[in-house]
Amino acid sequence: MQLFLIQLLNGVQLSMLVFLLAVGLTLIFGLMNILNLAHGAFFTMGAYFGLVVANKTGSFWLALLIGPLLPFVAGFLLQFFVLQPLAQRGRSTHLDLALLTFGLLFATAGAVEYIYGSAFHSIAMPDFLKGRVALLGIEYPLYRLFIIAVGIAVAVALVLVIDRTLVGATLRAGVDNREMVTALGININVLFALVFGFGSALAGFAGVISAPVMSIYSNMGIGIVVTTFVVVVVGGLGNLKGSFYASLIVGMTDTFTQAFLPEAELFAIYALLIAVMIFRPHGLFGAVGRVA
Amino acid sequence: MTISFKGYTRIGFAAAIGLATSASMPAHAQEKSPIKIGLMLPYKGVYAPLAVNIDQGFQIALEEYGNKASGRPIEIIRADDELTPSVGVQKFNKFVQSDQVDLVAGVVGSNVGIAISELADKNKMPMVFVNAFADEITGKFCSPYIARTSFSANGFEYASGKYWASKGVKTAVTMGPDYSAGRAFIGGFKRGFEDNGGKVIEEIWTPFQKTKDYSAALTQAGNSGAQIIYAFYAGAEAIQVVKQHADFGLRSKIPLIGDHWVYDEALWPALGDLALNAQHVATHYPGIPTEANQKFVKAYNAKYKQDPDVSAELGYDNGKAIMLTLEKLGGQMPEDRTKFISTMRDLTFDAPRGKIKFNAQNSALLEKVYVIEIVKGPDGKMQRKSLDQFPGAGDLPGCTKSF
Repeated sequence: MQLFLIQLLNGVQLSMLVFLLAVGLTLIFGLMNILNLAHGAFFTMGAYFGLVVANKTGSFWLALLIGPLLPFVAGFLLQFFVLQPLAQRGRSTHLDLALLTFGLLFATAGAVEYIYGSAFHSIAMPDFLKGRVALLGIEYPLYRLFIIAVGIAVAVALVLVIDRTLVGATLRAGVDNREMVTALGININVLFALVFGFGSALAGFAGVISAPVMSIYSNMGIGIVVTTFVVVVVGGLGNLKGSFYASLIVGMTDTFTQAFLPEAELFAIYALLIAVMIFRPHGLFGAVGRVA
Repeated sequence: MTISFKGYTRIGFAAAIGLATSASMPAHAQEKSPIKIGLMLPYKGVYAPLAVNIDQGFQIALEEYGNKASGRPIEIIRADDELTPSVGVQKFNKFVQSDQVDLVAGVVGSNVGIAISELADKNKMPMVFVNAFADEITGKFCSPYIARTSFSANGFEYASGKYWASKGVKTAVTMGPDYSAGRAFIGGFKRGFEDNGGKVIEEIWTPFQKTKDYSAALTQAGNSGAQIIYAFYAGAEAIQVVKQHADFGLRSKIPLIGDHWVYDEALWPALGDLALNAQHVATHYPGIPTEANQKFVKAYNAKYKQDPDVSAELGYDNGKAIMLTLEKLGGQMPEDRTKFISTMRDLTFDAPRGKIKFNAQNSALLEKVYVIEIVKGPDGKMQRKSLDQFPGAGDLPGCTKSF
């Protein structure tokens, strides 16, 4: 029972990290229809920028705050000056953009390796998050609970923004009917670039917040992209709440197979992906038909 | 007639090429053609830090000989196998076909090593492995074209398992990456441990290069009720495991014991205090008081301003064995290239880690295994304390060819 409980917490913690990455990706896909494989690059960028800030200031909180700024700016610029003009020239099929962003992912990993080498780095966690908490007869690392709390907070905040504010309404409208939004006089190019930047910033945020438990290294963004895409597909493209539930499903699948059926760990989430693609091609939580 | 800017640059280029060739021509005629060594290491990926240090150790060995074997210069051609068998195969073929190297050195991952061993045999290309510890490489896949200058997984870990069993450890849970070398190392430990009265109550395998979060595996291990966790991890994976082991408060509950890769000196900056008081087995540490070692440590420090770690020492052994063999052969690669490997097999030399001898399957043996504790030195820096030492075990049988 105790073991099960700890694994449950492990699963939720992993899910929240995956969610931070997937939510940006699903917004970008839903709104702009861009298969953005460079998402892992923004994850890496945020982590390294956070590392630089942490080394300069010695503050984890500043790293967490400032780290995501670089991916935000980079994401904004990429969408506004590269992807958007490409789309206007008609070069925006999924394959075109997948290739472009895929290249960007590897170019970033290469550039990071060139500058920082292939060593592994870490950001120290703040002292008061260092301990462990006794929970129902078990001890659990406080920092991992912090990750869970942050993930839930981000999810709640996003849902509120998207459901209750004008910005959110515009975004939802943009997903459903792009022409109509443009016709209403909203500068869709800037909006898209902002959302792209915001999604990238969340990826960077995930990079910094995961740094104390995992390591920062040049190829960190490459592996994570696949898991994130599984979440986006399972949750339904462009579906915010769906990506939250899907993150939980993927995180739990991954943790519990690793714990209780280790032989299956490598393919468990892919099996899940295939099953979803066969039976619910629009995702488990996808409402409107929209074919990728 | 006016010459355009483009024209000028063209003339400049032609002149430069002309000058360069005329300057190098006579020198070329005097000097002997170089011996080409293809050095294949995983410069990218989780074992990248190992690759860098192996490369540095390799260079120290070559520099001892002025980068020349019996007067012939040595040329190193590097390739990155990316720790991926298919990439390794591709790079090996490039070595053979377009670079036309005389021999190939290096290779860290056993997965790559196994893929390449058959190719080396087919192409009659001497392959001198630096790591590639999986027992099969000089067992099932043994070949007269293959040698290994390090040691086999069994040679190292069987002895380690035996040691811990003799120290009153009755039960252990093992953790390792699920690939050929992980299986080989943990398998060696298990045999040595259980042959001597210990019991491995659970084996936990994590997907190689894919696992970032070890919480699930560590939770299982923590609840297994064993006395120790015995782990084999290296590079990025080792950092993760050691850190998360501490995060879950398992340091006081079930110690994480492993080998020199888990607590590799290269990882100390990332591990910080977590490396303190950790005990592990090692095949080398900078403080070994032999002449061969002191000389190596001094040369390494002079060039790289740091102490050599285990990987650097293995890289040095690899380079040194190759240089000694080439010197013995008068700087010539024999027509029958198995002679290169059999000459190497007959070598005995004092390496920094101890005396190196080869067995009949061309695999080097371990003279000594050291038990190390990482402690804080008087200067406040971390250093190693040698607790004990014992001889390495033999290799597993499995080679059916005779050569």
